[in-house]
Amino acid sequence: MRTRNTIVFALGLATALVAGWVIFPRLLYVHRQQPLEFLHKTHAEKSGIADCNECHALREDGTFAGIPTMEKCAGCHSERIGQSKAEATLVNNFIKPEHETPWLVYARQPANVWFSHAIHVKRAGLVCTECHSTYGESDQVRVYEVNRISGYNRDIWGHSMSRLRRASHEGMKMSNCEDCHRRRQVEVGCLGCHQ
Amino acid sequence: MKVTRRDLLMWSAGAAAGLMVTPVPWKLLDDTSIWSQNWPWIPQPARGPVEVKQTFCTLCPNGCGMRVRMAAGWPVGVAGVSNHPVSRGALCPLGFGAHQLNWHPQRLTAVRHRGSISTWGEAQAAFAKACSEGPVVIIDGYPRRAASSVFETFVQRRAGSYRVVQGSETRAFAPYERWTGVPAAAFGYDLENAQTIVSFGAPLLDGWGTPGRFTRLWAERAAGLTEPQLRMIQVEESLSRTAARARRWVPVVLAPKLHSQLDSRVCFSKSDSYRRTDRCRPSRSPMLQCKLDFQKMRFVSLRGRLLLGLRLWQLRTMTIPRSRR
Repeated sequence: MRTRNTIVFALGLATALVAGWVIFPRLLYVHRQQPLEFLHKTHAEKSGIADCNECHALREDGTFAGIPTMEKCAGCHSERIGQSKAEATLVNNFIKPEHETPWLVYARQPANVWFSHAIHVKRAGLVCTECHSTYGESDQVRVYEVNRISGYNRDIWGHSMSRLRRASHEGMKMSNCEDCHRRRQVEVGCLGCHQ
Repeated sequence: MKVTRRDLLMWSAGAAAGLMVTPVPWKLLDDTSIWSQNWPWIPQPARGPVEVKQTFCTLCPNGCGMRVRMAAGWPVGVAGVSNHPVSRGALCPLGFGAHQLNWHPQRLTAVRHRGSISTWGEAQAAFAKACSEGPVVIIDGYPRRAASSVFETFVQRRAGSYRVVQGSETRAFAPYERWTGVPAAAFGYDLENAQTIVSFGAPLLDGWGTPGRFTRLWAERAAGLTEPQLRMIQVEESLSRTAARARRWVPVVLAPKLHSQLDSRVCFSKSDSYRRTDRCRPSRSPMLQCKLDFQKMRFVSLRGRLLLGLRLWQLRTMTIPRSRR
């Protein structure tokens, strides 16, 4: 009887572990496609754009340009210069009709968060890869995984469901910001990030 | 093999134990809390081009400098202006939240006329009728607010008159203004270089002057320090919050004629010995100033004493349930 109980208990335990670690993440996140297949590596190699700042720049007033606008893309792609389907979509659907590309932003934060790239890049001297990993060297479009419940991208929680032993660029929750600030002994009050 | 109820219970126990070491409960908790912040009826700032504009606060006459960050044309964040001569970069809590007053639950959402919900047409017609009955004079008891500019513009177009009620501080400086010719509005306070401040009833830590500036100064130079760099002496009748935090509170007693009518009424309900003291004897002059009837007030006090006596008699004579003893 005791052996049977132990076996049944272990079965329940195993079921919960599989459901929690394997099935749950797949159910929780839904995949979405970017409007275009943009390849960072191709642009770096063929166009000589080696620095992130060329497209993701800080403006003169200190605000961050974020994802470049269609105007920036039209600087080179006002007409088709390649043979790819993605470029055809860009030119025909967005540049010629003067429509902004509805990019899905991986690092989108809630509206109550105020983050200054200028302070982190210029004053703290952080490099882009510290938070954004090597996405600038990617040769394929990353899948956009959005949380069904919260609506945020998986990058905010991090790809590791346990959030243990994660790299510095994994996770963009408030606790991740706090960890880095604590390591670097930079104190900011509530209004520092929630203006 | 037959599956029994015990099997079901053991399996459930194992599953519950296993669930605790999976991310399921913690992730669901985190995600549902975020989901609850994004319900459709919760106001969300618009997304769009970000710009920063400098302005000043109009919620009180002090006019603290503000730097407003706007997204898609809507204010989303407010900060102080460090080189502003009045506020020196500080803002009070109301100023910091000024941009959120647009969504205050008690904001007006409908036209009201004489306390009742009305329509624009009815209110405009009533207002036009009232303005046509004679010259329009607006007496603004709270000048230099956002509404003050509306009042001024209105009377200019109506060829009316706009008057302001000077604040107590401005009135206090009036004799000095007459003596020196320096306008009262030109006075400033070099609080940052002060070592000792003696306040005669001014609510320094309760909203006086530029609250954000003084509160920040207080936090930096006085609060919680055994040897403060800024010492405050509060001369005041009551132990206000300002007096409680001052280096020294000098309690003063106001002259009897300055007592409010409430104090006089308290005197009536005290014992005879207390009532006999000169200090508590009410004089007619403040009541006359308040346009109150002396006899009526005495009757109210007497009625109060009678009611109290009746209640005490009731308590003594009624049976109190055991559970309430």
